[in-house]
Amino acid sequence: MSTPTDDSDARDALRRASDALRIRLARLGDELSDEPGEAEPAPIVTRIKFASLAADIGQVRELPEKRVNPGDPAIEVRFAKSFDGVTVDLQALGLPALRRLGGRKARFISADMSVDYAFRFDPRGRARLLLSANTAVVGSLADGFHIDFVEAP
Amino acid sequence: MPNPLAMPFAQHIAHLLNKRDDDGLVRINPWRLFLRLEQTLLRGRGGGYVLKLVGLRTMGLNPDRMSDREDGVARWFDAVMERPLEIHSSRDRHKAHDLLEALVRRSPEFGPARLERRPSDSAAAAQGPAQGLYARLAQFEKRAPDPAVGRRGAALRREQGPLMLIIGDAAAPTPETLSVWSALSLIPSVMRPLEGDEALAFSYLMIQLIETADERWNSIRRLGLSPPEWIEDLSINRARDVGILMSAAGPRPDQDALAAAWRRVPVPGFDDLDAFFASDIGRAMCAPVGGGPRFEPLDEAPEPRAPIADKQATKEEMLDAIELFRARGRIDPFDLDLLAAVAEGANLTALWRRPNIRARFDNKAAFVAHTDKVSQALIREVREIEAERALSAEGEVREVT
Repeated sequence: MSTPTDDSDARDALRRASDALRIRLARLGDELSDEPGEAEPAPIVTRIKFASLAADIGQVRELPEKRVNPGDPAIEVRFAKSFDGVTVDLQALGLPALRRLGGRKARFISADMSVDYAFRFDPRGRARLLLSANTAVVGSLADGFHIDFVEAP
Repeated sequence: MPNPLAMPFAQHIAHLLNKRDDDGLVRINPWRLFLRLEQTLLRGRGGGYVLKLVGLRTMGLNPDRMSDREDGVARWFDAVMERPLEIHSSRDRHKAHDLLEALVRRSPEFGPARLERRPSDSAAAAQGPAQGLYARLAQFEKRAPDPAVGRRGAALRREQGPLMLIIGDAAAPTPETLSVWSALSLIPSVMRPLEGDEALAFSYLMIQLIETADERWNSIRRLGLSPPEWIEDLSINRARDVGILMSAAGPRPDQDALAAAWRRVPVPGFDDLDAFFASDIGRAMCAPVGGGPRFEPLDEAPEPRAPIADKQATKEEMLDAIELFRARGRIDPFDLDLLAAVAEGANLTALWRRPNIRARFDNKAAFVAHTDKVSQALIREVREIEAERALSAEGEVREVT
């Protein structure tokens, strides 16, 4: 006659074996996904950098009204303080930039990564972000930021 | 019970976190990892993830529309991957903390790293390569609202101090409740790859985490309800009890079948079937009240597995299990040979060299799709063996008494 411990050991061993075999089977799928042409399309992420914006006046850091990155894709960033916080308006400049940025997923990240805002450009290559207006956020943005966007497949 | 697709998805994360660059090191930043995982959920397993892990149709979303897929995947990600996981009452940290520790230890730049409870005044600023990681950690700690600490976490903080991430001389507190994604988003920018048992141990940790994080979502999805609508209000236990009742009532049951099922397995917390019908969950499952319930299990079979074990199987245990399956004769001998080869360590390349495999499948993708079916067959077989053993143990007890 089997004891409860025997039963439980046998059950545990069987489950362990089954789990281990299933993991090994799942790994075959991962190996396949590594082969050229088999993987789900890997997203291509492009970074648009904005160097330090700070106009240090004593201890107070101010954001400029507007900054343009003329690179490829060209983009304009406007900052405006509002009752709710800092509004950041992004706009693709020119048709090539609009084609690349329109409708794309993106992130707006400050240099020290304390601001990390996921968003999507609208079909016209625009986006509006609302950030809190505390000193740390303004200071962090003033030290520079970048926009990462996912290129169209 | 865990979703059967939680395991391959978790294994896929472990795999992505082990993909080497030309110099043999692993480099993946959190956003790229997120985008890869999003693609996997949207398109992977021939749409299996989006249908059976996310459960798109339960949300009334259309799997043929990419925007609906994206919507469903985003909701699953928010509710599962970003779900704060509370520390169990018997532990002083969560497995999400183990994940964070395992990731940080893989950095070739940081040196020895560990998580340890220490008084909060022992915090020390980081210098050098770990600075960026500590800056991100500080943001998490700042963002985490007090209730997110959880009861166990709050008590542990009071008695033993916060769980400090210690790298060299630097130390900073980690949030008491971490989500899987919070831990993954603290990934070092460069990691050493894992090999052999170490890689398997990491896969097990990932699987345990994803199965745990997905448990609530899955318990609702299995009822055919929309998880985002119910996740705040329906506990895992209540969902399980309702599932037991509806399974006992059979597919498309009428009022009599439900009443008979209620006599056998009533849902705790309700005085009677009428009280159940009058509740939100009763109405959702059996609407219109008194009419035919719309419940129909989404999966062909109930999901039988207990959460993945902490301990890994030995090769001997795997081969013993395969011999047991062979003796029972329910699994195709071809599949048993495949399992034996996998237990011996064969990879896809080695398997694809085998003439009997090449003769049976047009390409590797068809072969891999078949391995999913083998995995499902394993689940069914183990469930049946366990049920038979339980019955025979019951018989033995009766004989003795």
